[in-house]
Amino acid sequence: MTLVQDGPPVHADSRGVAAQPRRQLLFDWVVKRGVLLVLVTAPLDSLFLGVLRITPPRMGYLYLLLASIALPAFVAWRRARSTDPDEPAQHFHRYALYSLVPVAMFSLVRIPALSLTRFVFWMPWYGFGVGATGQPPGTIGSLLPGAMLYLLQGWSLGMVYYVLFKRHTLLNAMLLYTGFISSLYSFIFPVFIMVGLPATPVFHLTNYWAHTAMGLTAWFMPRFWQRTWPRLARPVRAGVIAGLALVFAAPFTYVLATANLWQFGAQAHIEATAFDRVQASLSGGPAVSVERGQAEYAYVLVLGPRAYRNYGGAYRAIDATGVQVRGQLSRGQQVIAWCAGDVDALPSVRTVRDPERFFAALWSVNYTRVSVRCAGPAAGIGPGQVINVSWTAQLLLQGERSTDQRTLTGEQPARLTAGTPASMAPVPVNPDQ
Amino acid sequence: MSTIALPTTTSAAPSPAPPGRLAALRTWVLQRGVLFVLLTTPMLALFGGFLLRYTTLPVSTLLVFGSFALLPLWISYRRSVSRDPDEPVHHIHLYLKWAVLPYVTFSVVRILPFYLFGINYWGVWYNFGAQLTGERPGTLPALLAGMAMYTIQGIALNTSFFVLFRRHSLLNALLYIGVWFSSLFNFVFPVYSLAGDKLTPTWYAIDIVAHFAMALTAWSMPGLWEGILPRLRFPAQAGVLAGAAVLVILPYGFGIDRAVQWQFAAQAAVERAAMAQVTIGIEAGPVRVTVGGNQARYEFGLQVAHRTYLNTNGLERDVGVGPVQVTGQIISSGRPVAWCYGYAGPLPSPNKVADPRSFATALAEDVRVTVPVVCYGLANSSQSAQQVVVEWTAQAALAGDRTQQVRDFRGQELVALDRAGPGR
Repeated sequence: MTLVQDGPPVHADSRGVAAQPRRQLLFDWVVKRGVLLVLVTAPLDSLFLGVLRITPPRMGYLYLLLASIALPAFVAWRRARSTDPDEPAQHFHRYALYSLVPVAMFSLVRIPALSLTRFVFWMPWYGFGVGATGQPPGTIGSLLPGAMLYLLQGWSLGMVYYVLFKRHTLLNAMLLYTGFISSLYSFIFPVFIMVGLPATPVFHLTNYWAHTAMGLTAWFMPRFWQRTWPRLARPVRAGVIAGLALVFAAPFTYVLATANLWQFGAQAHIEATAFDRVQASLSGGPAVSVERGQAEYAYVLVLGPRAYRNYGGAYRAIDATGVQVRGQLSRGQQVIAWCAGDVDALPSVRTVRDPERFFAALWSVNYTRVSVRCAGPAAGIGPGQVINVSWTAQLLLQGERSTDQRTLTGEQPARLTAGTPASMAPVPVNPDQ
Repeated sequence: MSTIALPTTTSAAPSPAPPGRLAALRTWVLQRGVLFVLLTTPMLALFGGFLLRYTTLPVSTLLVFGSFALLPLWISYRRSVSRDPDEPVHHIHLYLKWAVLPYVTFSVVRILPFYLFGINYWGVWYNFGAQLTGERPGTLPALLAGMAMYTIQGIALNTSFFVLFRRHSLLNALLYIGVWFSSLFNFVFPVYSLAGDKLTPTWYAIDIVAHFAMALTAWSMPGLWEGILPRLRFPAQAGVLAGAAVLVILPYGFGIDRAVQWQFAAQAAVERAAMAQVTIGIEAGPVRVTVGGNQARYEFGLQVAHRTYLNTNGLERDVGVGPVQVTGQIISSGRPVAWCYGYAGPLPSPNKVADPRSFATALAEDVRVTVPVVCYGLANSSQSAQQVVVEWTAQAALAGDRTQQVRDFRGQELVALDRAGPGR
């Protein structure tokens, strides 16, 4: 191909690399590869901005948004200015197509892991989808955007190899994918991404194996398209294209099918079991104080357990909203006080993004205390008396796939203790308004 | 302007015979259509996710993310195979550069009307940013995210002019940007967005003027960048470039400066004043009593009202109220006969309703919102009473875009009893 020339070239390649001062070499590298590298890695950078908690997840994607204008502008500009046939911008469309196959291969080789080890490789896709779009986790609404972001991230990783290295050798591919990216992945995911899911040896093994397959594919692509492809006959070419399309589509089709046929049902079943385990129980005896002919009581109802393990073995907690407790205190057949307590939502671990903090948060919300206050006439009431506490707690239990309106009732004798019931729990300011 | 190279690869030489309609269409699609679609994904995201709300803005923005890979791929591919020097792909880097000043001009010309009429141009950026990122509207993160959205929309819109038209004439610029886009936005934004805004003829006039200014700037760009600028000597050239840089920074800098220096404090003051106006009182009518067994159940409602205010973007909004927790007593003959409790989570609010018509309906419906309160006591306590004293205390969380507070409300009122049910 004849390259475009727009005025005198900025950097004459004929000068010879040896004669160029180091600064010129660095400048050349930055212009030809460095800027392009920074721009093509925007999907990864955007993810990392959120994952490393430098910005909220959705704010991180602003970088990708701006890069969607900057990358084409830069590629077009370099295509117009560059006279270096080795400059990656000259081959951008080829590299972009090459990069589609390694990303598919990365997931394709992990498909057997589900049957062999129950390793659900697409679980992070939901996280990507939730992080970028705010759609609920565990649904098609977050899986599809997550799959698309995963594809972009993988494509971006593929492009790194072609942009970063002038020589697309096997050694470079192995150093990049098996050495560097696998190690980075084995560090970043458990420390920053895998919330509630301990990283097992299977995870690390799968990670190294899949990245190696990705590296091999990335290395093979230029060889195939430049050496093998031109020698193929037309029918064989058609077969190859069909095969590559199949390789590309296979992991995404597999994930969508498995999510629909297995995961959603399995998760709903797990959630139904977890819903059944949630109970309300009394914690200690009610405190009573008598003043101006009235008796005020306070007691604590404990709701839980809420922790469970989802379809992929990750720990999660059932959420509960609209918690409404109503009840009575009675002595014999006589009602002595009427009780109420409301909470908009029990504390949730959904917003915990730090894997290190997750388990502490999970165990702190596993059993949640709900304050209930009662009031009634004072006649003959005092500490030490045994009364009957009855309650009805209504709450909406929420998992990733299902919700269930539950009514938990209970009755328990309890001895009154002396004490001023804690003042009314302050009304929380709602951050979502 | 670049010299277009002749590739040695695939494209066939142009036929001397005039191409058929289908071939012309195919050529148009390949040379301009695909590029146009890929370039305008920010506008498609705006329409699909923000204005027409087929989906959410973050989901529709995935279109832009898709173009992140496809657009440079297409540009690179077409540059490799195209032999037509007029094909936009050969000049797209110039078009993208030319697109910058027009879209900033669109905002710069609206700075003066801000001082004259109090209509700010960055108000809608909060909405873009809040919907895209989930940040609270009226905050700096929402403003910054909105700026990013505005930037790619502005570049997309103006680049589409250079891609769509072969001749970048004044008439084409005025028709496409001045007439078509200002008409479209003058229709689409008021009908599908800007909920709570009472748009005046001044708003429309400013919008039209800004679009025409953008059109004129877009038309002048090829002349400026490729005609005038290369002919200027160094100091003049540097001066023009510095002026262009100032122009680019101006609408962002001005918006941020006004938001931080004026708007945030003004908005907080507006919200505090609005929160002070919020009232809670007993709903008109008697307290309903039903007796079952040895218990009496009393019911009444507390009405929350006067929540509406006008924010610093000129939009009607409701003070967010909730949760509200009510406790109280029913007092008869000077002694408590029943104990009351009421609770409501966040009260309905039109603030998150994006559709202007639905917003108006929701605003009207939420003028008065009732929090039900239920009291229980022994059945024989107020058997003969016709009237009782209702004493209540409500604690409510109030929230605006920039301020939040918890307020206590109290009341005591003599109310008639309405007896019903088996004990009547």
